[in-house]
Amino acid sequence: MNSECKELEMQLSAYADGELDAPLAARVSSHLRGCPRCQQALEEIRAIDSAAGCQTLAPVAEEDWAGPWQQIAASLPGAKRVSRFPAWARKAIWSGVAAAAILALLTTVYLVRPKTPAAGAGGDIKGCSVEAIDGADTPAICYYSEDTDLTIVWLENEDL
Amino acid sequence: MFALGFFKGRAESSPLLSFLLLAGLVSLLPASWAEEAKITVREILAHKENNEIDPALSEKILDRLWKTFRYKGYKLIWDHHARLTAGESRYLQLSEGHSLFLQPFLEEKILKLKITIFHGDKKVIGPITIIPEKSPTLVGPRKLKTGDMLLYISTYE
Repeated sequence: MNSECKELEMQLSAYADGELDAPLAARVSSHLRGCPRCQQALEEIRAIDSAAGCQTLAPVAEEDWAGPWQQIAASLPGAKRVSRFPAWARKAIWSGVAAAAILALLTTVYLVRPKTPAAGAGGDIKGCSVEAIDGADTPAICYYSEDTDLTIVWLENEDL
Repeated sequence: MFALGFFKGRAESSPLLSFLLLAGLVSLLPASWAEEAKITVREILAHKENNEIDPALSEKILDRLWKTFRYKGYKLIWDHHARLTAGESRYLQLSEGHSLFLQPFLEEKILKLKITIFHGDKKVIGPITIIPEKSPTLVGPRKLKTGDMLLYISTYE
């Protein structure tokens, strides 16, 4: 065993698995051609790998496990799902969930409800009866008098 | 009768069911009340020189007019009472070629009214969307030969 044998002996396992980078793998190959002792060592490593069933497995997708798990669960005799919570606690939880869902629904309905087109017409003023003025061919001002409880749409006639 | 018996039995056995039935009935009531509105449209002629006051105008209306305008006299030209229901449009003829188009409609269980004033074929203003039950609405003035026209729109009992 020369010094190169000692240096490369440690690389043989990686060489057998194809894990060496190209320059080092070329150097090991070159050495192996002229070194029967290292060739023998490599053959032993490969024999051990083969005996141990060392092989590369194809990756299994996560969803591919769903079917086998269901089959296993179905095959269990009298398999029954056991909850961590007692019956009263499950009722309370579901009631809470239902209440939260209703609240969320009502909130959504409230938020997305159509707004009153009150801009410029005082529709948001309590007591004001005018909600919107569209197509004002004659300029108009709308105001609400709380004193008289009267909503006035004042038409600005040019000739008045 | 069968259905009534069914619900009666259920209501007795379940306070929640009876509450829901009651709530459903109550929620229907405002909708039926709001589908009709009793509206009065008054055409009032206002004067700046003539201080005559038409006795046909109520004190309440006159009080509102005095506090709002500086006219000296008011005359009721006509008033029109109508029971308006959603989708039933009305067309009223006003003085000197003017007209009023009323379009009641229901929105969020409230009867609202779109009013548009025309002079001949030409639109003067509108549609103005009003909620009659809130407060009386006064639209005007519109210049006429004999004075200024005011439209007073209110509900009546």
